[in-house]
Amino acid sequence: MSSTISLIDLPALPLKHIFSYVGFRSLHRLRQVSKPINHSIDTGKPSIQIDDLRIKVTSKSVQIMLKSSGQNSCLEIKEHQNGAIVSPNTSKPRIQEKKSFIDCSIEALQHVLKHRKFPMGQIKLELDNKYSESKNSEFLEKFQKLLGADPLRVEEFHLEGHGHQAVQLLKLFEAKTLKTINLSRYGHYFEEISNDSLMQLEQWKNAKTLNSRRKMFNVPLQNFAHFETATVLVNKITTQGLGYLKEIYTQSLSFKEIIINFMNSDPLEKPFEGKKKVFRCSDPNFALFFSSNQMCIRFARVPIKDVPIGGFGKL
Amino acid sequence: MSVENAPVVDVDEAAIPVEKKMYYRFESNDKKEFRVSELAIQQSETLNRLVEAMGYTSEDVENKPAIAIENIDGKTLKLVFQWCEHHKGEAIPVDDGSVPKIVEIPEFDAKLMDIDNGLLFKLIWAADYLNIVQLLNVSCKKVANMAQGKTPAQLRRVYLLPSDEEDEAAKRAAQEAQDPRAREVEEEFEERKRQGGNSFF
Repeated sequence: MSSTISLIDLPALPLKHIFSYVGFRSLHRLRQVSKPINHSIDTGKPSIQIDDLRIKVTSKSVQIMLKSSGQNSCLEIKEHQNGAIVSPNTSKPRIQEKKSFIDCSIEALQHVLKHRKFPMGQIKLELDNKYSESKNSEFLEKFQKLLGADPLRVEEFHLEGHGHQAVQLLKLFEAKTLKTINLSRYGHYFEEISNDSLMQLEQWKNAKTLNSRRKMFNVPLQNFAHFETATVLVNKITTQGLGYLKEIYTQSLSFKEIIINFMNSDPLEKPFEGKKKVFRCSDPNFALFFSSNQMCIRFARVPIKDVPIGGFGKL
Repeated sequence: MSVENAPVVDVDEAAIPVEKKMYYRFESNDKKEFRVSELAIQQSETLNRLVEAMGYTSEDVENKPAIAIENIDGKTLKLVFQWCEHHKGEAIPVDDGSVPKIVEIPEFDAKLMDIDNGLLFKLIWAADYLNIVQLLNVSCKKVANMAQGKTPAQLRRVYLLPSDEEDEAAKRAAQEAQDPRAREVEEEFEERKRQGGNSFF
C-alpha cells in the first residue's frame, strides 16, 4: 500500500461495493470524472438498487422518474420534428436526431435496467388511453421486447391504465417476487373487467396485496380470496361468495383485511344478514370480523382480545 | 465502547477477563505493535486462517516475534483492530447476492471513520486485504455516501482523483500498452463528454 491512495487505487471488490451503493445518478456523475473510473464502472458491472421506477407515456412524450439509493432522477423525452428532445433534470436538453421519442425512452430504460440485479422496490406505469392514445401500445410492445425472456423482479407494481395492459405487463414480472398489485385509471372513468385472464396469471395468484381503483370486477369473489390485504370494487356480491371468503379467511394465518365495494347484491342470508358479525378462526388467538353497509363489506382478522365478551355471532 | 477505549494498543493486563484468552501480537509495516484478542481476529478471515495455521500456544504468542503485516501501516492497522475488537463475536454477514445489501453505519463505526479521506481509502484497502466483510461494507458505504449531490469536479476532489491532464501524462502510455481496450474506452468516454457528459439522467 503506497503512502497516499485515491479511490481508483482501491481493488476491484471495494470499488464494486462503492459503485453499487452510490445510486444511479451519482454513478453517472462518477463516469464523467475520469477515464479510469469510467472503465472501472464498465468492467465492475456494479448492481445498482432501484427503489422506484415510474414511467408515464403520453401521446408526445415519455417521463421516466427513478429513485435509487435515496436519490431522485428525472428524464423527459419529447417528440421533436428532427427526432426527440431528451431533458434530464440535471443537465441541458439535447436533441437525439432521427430517433422517435419512444425508441429513445426504451434506450434510456435499457440503460437503467442493465444494472439491475436485485429486485426493484416499485415500478409504476402510467399508460392510460386518456393521455397516451395509441403510443402506449407501441411503448408496451417495445418494453416487452426490451425485457425479453428475462423477467423483471419487482416487489410492487402500479398500473394507471387498462386491464389488458395489466395482463401484458404482469407477465413480464417474476411471480415469486411480486407482492403488491395496484391498479387504477386516470380521472373518473371506470373500467369493467369481466374476463378472468388477469386472474389466471401466476403473478396475480402469488401477490399478497391488491389495491384497485376505478376498476369494476365482474368476476367471482373467489378470485380475491388469496390476498392478505385488498380493496376492490365488484359488480355483485352473493351470500355464497362471501361464505367462501369467510371459510378461507377463518383458516388463514396471514389474512389481514379486505374491503369489497359492490354495485349490486341480493339480500344477504345467514350468516351475513346483519351489519356486524364475528367468526372464530382456526387460530384461537384471532377472530374474523365482518361488517357491511349499503355498498361495502369488510372482513378483517383481529386479535381475540379485541372481541368483546360474548361477541361471537351477532354483535 | 467508545473508539478511544477500544482495547487495541497497550492492553491493560488487569482488564483482561478471568477466563483464559489469547491475545496475538501483530506488527505493522512501520513497526508498530498491536495486541489483538483471539475473538476479534475472527472478524478477519485472512488473519483467522493465518493464526490457525500457525497454531501458536500462549507462550508462543509472548515469546515469538509479532506477526508482521507488511502491507499496512500502524495508523491504519490501529483502526482495523479497534473495529475488530468492538465487533468481536458478531456474526459475519454472508452476501448471497439474493437481496440488496442494506448497510447501516453504527455510531461507533461512524466515529471510527471520521478521518481524512486518504486514511479512509487505506482502511478500505486493509479491510479488503484482511477480508473483514462488515468493515468493508460500512467503509464502502461511507465512501459512497460522500458522492451524494456532488458534481464531477467535486467528486474528483473528494475521491482524490487526478485530473484528466495529470492522468493523461501518467497513465495513458501504460494503459494503451497493457490494455487492448484502452483506445475503445477512451473513445466511449470522449463520446459521452461530447454528448454533455451524460447519456441519460
